[in-house]
Amino acid sequence: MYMKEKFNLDQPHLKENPYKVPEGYFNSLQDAVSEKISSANKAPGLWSVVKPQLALVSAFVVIFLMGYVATQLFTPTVSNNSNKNISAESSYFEDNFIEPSFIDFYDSEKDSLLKDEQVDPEEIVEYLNTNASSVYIASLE
Amino acid sequence: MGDKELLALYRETGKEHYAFNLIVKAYSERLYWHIRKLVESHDDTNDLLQNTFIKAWAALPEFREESRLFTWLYRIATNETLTFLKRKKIRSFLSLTDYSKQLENKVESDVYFDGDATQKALHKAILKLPNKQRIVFNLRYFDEMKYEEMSEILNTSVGALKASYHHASQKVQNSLESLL
Repeated sequence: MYMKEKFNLDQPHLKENPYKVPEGYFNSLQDAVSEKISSANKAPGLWSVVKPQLALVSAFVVIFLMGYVATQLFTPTVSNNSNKNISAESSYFEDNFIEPSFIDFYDSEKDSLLKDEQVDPEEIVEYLNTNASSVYIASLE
Repeated sequence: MGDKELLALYRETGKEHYAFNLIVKAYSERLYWHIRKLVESHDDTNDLLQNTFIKAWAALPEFREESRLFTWLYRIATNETLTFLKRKKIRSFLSLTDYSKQLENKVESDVYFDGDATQKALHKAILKLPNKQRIVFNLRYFDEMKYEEMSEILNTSVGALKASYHHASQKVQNSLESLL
């Protein structure tokens, strides 16, 4: 009966190192490590300390400005129809589509002639008492 | 120069950099091969080795010599490598690829791999092991490290390490028998 041969792990050549390194690697390694250690030991300058904080602040400012501009652009403004009408009317006048006349500027609300103002009788008596002399002179004329 | 002399030199004022350069010189090769067998690629190994030394430099003032310098450096390198492998595995899981397959392909295409077909098969078989078992296998099989030393590096009991190595070598053997 065929028995598979057991693999011998203790063959000396198997324990040999099959890997290689680039030439002069271990000599250059010391310099590379020394260089990294020296650069790690250097105290960070003021600019390198302040730089990330400045970047953070400016990022916030930019975000705030973008938000402000966006709200200004996209928030609907309260429309004033009467102003719009006035401006529309004035543009009609300017373009001579409508001839301006007295009636265009007439405000019936402010016309005192149309109002039936009541005069208080007591005010008439008081007036006559205080201005009796001037009323007499006026009647002589 | 031994660990004790290196550390004494490091503690002398103004000689820290010089002493640390000597530490890098003394241990870079052993640490390199330890990492390389786990990640396969030279570039990844280079990055991980440099990170290991940078972390060692930062932590050396607090090193209390409770373990040997060599063991301590091995522990840093192993942790760095395990973290790297975990990250790679997550990334490949997310991109629906098999990371151990990627590593096997690296062995196949690596210009810095100089072994024969059996060595290639062995390294591919080792890559099929779980990461921690792979570390145990490599340290014992290639570096012939004592279990007590491994226990210090991996913070695992000697008994557990022996069992792990036994399982790992069985798996590797089975895998090689099916491959060859």
